[in-house]
Amino acid sequence: MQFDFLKPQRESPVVIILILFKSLYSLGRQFFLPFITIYLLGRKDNENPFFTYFIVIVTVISLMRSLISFFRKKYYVDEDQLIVRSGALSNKTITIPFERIQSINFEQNLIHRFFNVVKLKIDTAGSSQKEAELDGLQFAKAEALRILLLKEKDEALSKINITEEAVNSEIDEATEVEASKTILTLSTKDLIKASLFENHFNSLALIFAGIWYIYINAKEVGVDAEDYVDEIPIMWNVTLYGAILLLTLLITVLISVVRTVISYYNLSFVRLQNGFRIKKGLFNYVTLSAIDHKIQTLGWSDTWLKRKIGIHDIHMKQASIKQVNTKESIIIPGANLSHVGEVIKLLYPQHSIDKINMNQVNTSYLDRKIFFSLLFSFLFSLIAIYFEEGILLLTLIGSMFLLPIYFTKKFRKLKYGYDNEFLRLSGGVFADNHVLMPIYKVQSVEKHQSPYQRKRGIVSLSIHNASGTERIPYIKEEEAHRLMNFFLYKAEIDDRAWI
Amino acid sequence: MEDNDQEIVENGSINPLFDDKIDQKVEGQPIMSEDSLNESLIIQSYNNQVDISSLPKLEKIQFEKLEEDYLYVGFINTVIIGLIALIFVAMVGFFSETIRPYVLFGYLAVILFFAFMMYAEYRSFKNSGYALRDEDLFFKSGWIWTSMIAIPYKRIQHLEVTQGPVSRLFDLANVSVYTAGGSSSDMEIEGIKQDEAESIKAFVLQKNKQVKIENSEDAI
Repeated sequence: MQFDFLKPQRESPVVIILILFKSLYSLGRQFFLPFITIYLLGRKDNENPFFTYFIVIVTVISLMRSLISFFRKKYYVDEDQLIVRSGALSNKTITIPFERIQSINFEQNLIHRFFNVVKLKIDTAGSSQKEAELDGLQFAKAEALRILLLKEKDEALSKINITEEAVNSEIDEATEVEASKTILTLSTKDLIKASLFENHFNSLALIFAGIWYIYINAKEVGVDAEDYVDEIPIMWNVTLYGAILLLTLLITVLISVVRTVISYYNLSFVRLQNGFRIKKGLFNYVTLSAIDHKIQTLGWSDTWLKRKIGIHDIHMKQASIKQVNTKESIIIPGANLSHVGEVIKLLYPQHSIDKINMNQVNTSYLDRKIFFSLLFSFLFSLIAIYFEEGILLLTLIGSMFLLPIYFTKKFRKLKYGYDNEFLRLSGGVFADNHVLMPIYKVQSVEKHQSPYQRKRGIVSLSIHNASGTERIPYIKEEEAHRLMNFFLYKAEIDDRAWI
Repeated sequence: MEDNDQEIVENGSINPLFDDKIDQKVEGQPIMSEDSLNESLIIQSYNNQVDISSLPKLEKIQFEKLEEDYLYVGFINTVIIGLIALIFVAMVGFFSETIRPYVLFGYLAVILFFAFMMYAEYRSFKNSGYALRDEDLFFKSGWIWTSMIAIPYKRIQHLEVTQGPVSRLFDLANVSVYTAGGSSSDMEIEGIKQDEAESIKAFVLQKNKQVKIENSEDAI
């Protein structure tokens, strides 16, 4: 099928349906939450009709706005740039020169899939406000546009004459989809296994915070849980708390499993000629692609439990404006070590990570952490004694013993190493985290020094690349200078495409 | 800027290495038609062992001091904020009976705090400096916690010369340097003469043609 992208054109009318659904959804959300709080907690003093009208009016206005901007939004290709004109009341023109395009990703939610359309996301790095989204494109049209953009991009690139390598990769990526090899696919069972052994403590803490919040709110409304607690015998009390804890843990694990399955459903991780592609998702069908030279860091990690059954996560971070945007980094849960080795081999063929000598950071790192953890535990203990909070005091005294052990473990695992091409970092406490980063991708290096560090001739180093920051804390100043000199030199001397 | 010549010589020591690499690439050109070979050639030419001790040393960099006037810009800004804080304390004392007896302490605390801030600014100013080398740009700052950041010109995406209202009185400007990705790797050289800022901008643009594209784009 032929598509003419030179003419300014609208997104497909499916977008109207998408907009309607979105408004309905936000309206539903606006009303649903107050309903729960008002009717479940029996709070009826908040029934202000103006509030309801206000929400309806805001929704209608935003709906009108979305519709107007749909009719005004037009995109077209002009020589070597994609131009998107939009704006409901104002005029907004986004111009994306092809050579600035980072990646083109597809997204489909349920409605998209019903109409067989996709949302096309065009990412650029560096300049903000230069990302474009084209919604509701027919699948074939979106694919055609993607190939056109990538091809045009190659020409734009070759005009600037960066390197041949980069140009080739793009053409391969666009045309030779068949020349791909599946590295791994994950069944629902694998996903459940991977998510079961996730670190659940973080989400558990979040849930307890949520329960605490509801408890406080309920108290304000007049439902005081403590009234009921007093009526229950002590023995029951302990079992009750135990049951609540167990139930919460179960819920946490369940949420984690469901979330993982929904977002990574039917994951396939494929090696293309010069890049990787990942397809995944149950309701939201997402296709992400990463071209080799755009991958800034490759990482793999596990948790204590995951290691026991030989499961690792693989992360690939790409350049992105939103620095800590997980959407931009490709994450594969539930890979095993041989997959990790395969990816390293594919991405950095001439490299053997085992030859990198790993160094420990300076011991003053540990001294400092232990000093601060003891200091803070001690100060908080004094406060606890003053307010006669027995349980808090016990926890704090416990932390005085546990925190030094924690930091000792952390310190032992914290290592860095480098060879001529790569910086390798590893760390973790109960988990293992590894990061591999090509040195020539360094964007800037930064050293920090606190008064304590100055006395001992130690600095902390931050190494920034287009996808984020890697840190080497507490190393000797001379060593830091050597590293900085070396990293800067490597970045300056290397002409390979890096972003 | 006089120190720069010295720096260029310093950086010049790596030039033999640099030329070496270019030579290899030129030699390799005829064979480069084949993809795989091309790739491995590039990699090989990049992967020569580097003697780290022979690289240009950042320890030897002579940092350029910031303009003396910038100290006054900082002082004026701090004094303005301090005055606002004092007025706030006075208002609280005026409207609240209970706080009125303690207002004097409030004044004292505000004055002490802002005096300390000015002292910190002075010390930080003394420590701040920037340096331009052949291939990269340095900025250091801080008093209690010090930091130094280096950005290669090649990795700069976008450059901006900005001026605050007080800075304008002293004809001073800041150069903001942006790299790709997040904001953590960005740099701001503060408190240099307006024309010097413009010349730094021109120098970086000349070093990295890509920056120019970015700039003209943003003008649209």
